[in-house]
Amino acid sequence: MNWNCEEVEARLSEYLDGELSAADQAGCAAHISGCDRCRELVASVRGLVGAMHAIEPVEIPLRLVPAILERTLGPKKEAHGWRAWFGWLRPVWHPRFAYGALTIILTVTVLSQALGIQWRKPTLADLNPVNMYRAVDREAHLAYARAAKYFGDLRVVYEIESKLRSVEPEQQQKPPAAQPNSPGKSEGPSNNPLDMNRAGFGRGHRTRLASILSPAALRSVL
Amino acid sequence: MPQIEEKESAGRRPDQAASLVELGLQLQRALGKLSPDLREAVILRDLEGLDYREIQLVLEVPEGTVKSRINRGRIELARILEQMGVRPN
Repeated sequence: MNWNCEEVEARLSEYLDGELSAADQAGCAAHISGCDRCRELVASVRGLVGAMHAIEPVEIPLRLVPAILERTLGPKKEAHGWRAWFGWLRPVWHPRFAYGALTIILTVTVLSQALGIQWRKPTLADLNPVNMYRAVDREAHLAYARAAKYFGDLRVVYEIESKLRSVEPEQQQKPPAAQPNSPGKSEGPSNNPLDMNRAGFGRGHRTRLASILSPAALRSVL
Repeated sequence: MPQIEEKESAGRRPDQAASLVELGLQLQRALGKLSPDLREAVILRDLEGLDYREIQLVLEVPEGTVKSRINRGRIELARILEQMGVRPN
């Protein structure tokens, strides 16, 4: 095939993209090398293609997607009432943002508590690193002391409870005549679960505790 | 006397990046002057990187039409850029 200028111009892109057969590619190249006009055209289009491959992808404008939706689906319906008032909140009106805000508030609260910042009476001294360190140190010690006291108290309670359990069988062996003054009501604790919440239950236990736990017994427990 | 060491950056130099941005803007303007048929063919081929077969599927036109549109679009675009005084290398 003999290549002329019209042929080259018509199939220039195929030549540049390597879409021609080997024979055509060679014939086209041979014509271009001998024709100033075609050489200039090829150089110009090759430069353009190279430039288009080199440039960065265009950033999509923010308004593009809403504009396309408006053109294709028609204009957006206008909001009425409270929706119109709070429409500007729509982008952040999402559970993720609510959780995020809640987390930030909680974190700030906990941190300020730990750092000893008084929000009601804020002072510049609160931001002093030395004061912050002292506040953290104090809070840590307090927390440790509270925990130690709690577990210590728990131990005492269990000791008392086990003492009570060990004494209970002896109490049950005694005859009921020794107990109440009033004939209708029983002062002591009953085994009926419904009676457990009554005031008499607490009172009975208190008197029994007082009789069991003499000061000497208490000392031995503590 | 201290000397500033020159190092080749792996990325583009700032002036090259700036000239590419400028070229991109001029290309955008030139593409706007093309007819819609030629514009979409050129954009799909040279900016989106699709091959001839994919463009044929996207545009739903015969292969010959795709080749013709890309070719005419490129030549026309090069002519418009030349009129704008832009000659990409």
